[in-house]
Amino acid sequence: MKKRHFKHEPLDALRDADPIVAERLPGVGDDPRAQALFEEITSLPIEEEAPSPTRAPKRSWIFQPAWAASAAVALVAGVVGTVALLGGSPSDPPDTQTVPTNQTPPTAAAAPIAGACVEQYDLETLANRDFAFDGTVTSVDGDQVTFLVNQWFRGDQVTEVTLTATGLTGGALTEEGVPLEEEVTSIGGGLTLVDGERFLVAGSDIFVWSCGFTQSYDPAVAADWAAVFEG
Amino acid sequence: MTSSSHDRADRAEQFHVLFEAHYPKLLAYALRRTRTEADAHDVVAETFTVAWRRFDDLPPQDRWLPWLYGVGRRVLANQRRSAARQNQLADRVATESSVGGYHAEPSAASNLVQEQMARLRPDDQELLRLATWEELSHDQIATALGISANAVGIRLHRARNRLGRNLEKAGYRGSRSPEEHAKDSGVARTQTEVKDQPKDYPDKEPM
Repeated sequence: MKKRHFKHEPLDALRDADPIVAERLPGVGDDPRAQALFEEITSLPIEEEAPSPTRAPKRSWIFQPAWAASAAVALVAGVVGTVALLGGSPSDPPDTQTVPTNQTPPTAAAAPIAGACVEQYDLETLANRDFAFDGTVTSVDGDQVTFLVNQWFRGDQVTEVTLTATGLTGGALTEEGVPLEEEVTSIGGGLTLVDGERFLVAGSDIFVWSCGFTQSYDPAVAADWAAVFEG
Repeated sequence: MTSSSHDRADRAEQFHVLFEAHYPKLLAYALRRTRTEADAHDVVAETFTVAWRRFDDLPPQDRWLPWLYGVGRRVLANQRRSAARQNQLADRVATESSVGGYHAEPSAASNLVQEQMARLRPDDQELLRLATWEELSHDQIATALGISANAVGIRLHRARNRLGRNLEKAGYRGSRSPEEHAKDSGVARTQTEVKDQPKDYPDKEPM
């Protein structure tokens, strides 16, 4: 389960191809246009004062987007749809007076947003994973988690394995190093890989998958997993 | 000063913090994704307007920037749909000059990278752009796109591999040496330098 190496690292190649030299952009203090925009925006009514407006001002020389006349301008804050990422057709942004019921603010999710998972977990999709095992966490270092494998269902058959578990290790700490409870559940869908605890773990490449593909150990589920990977 | 006026003044003061901190980055984000500077400024204006109207709903301050990118992404999508409906996009390309002043000098290497990026799915392109040009961590990308950090890691890994294969097939020869990349901003960016990654970039994808 090794990462593929290229002669030229593609991410470096992409960085070098950045079309914009960000250092050339002036700060707000040196940009009269930015200062004028700030003044114009902060003169706008806020929701409590004017419940009906849904569009930015059109008379100002700043707010003259040709396309805005036919598009709803104001978006519900924090609503970033996962539909586009799944290849669907993004709907027009909703009016500011309504909150879409099929979307949640990305920062408020206590469980994975529908579509936020790479795949939906079931025993059929589980069977497609590169590796699966019953293991106990022995160390957590950033998003690198090491497991002592109790039983392999599919995989390398080694005693110990270290995998990348992005979003499953908590990550937000107080100054004392104690995880902030609200952060622990906001990213990994409620599951956090904790040193000393036992999990059923599945994934592909070098990644541990969330969204049910990794879950707290349960003997009945373990028996299902064993059956999936038999033969 | 009335209570309402006081609240407004407080909001303006806090909004100023957000605006001053993130205006240049949001402008860079928009300039990278629009055909004209005018379109980019429209995107920035609309995005900050949303932020002003919904200031009370903003996430904690350390997530402001990815949140702004998320709103900007939707504003961009609206802009493109509206331009398509009005059949103006081609005209605007023909009549308005490309972004100037902030643009990097194009090169054969950068053109080739752009060509190979264009062959990827739009979702993969945006993941890669956010990770490299906007330099967002997995968690920040997750906020911007409204998906889990776990999904970001997996999809980014796949997108990187797809781009790498495309570049190899196209004969990409690189623009800088791995050592030059490693020296740049003190950040180890090559895939083989995982262990040397500085601690002040803890959320960067492990390379």
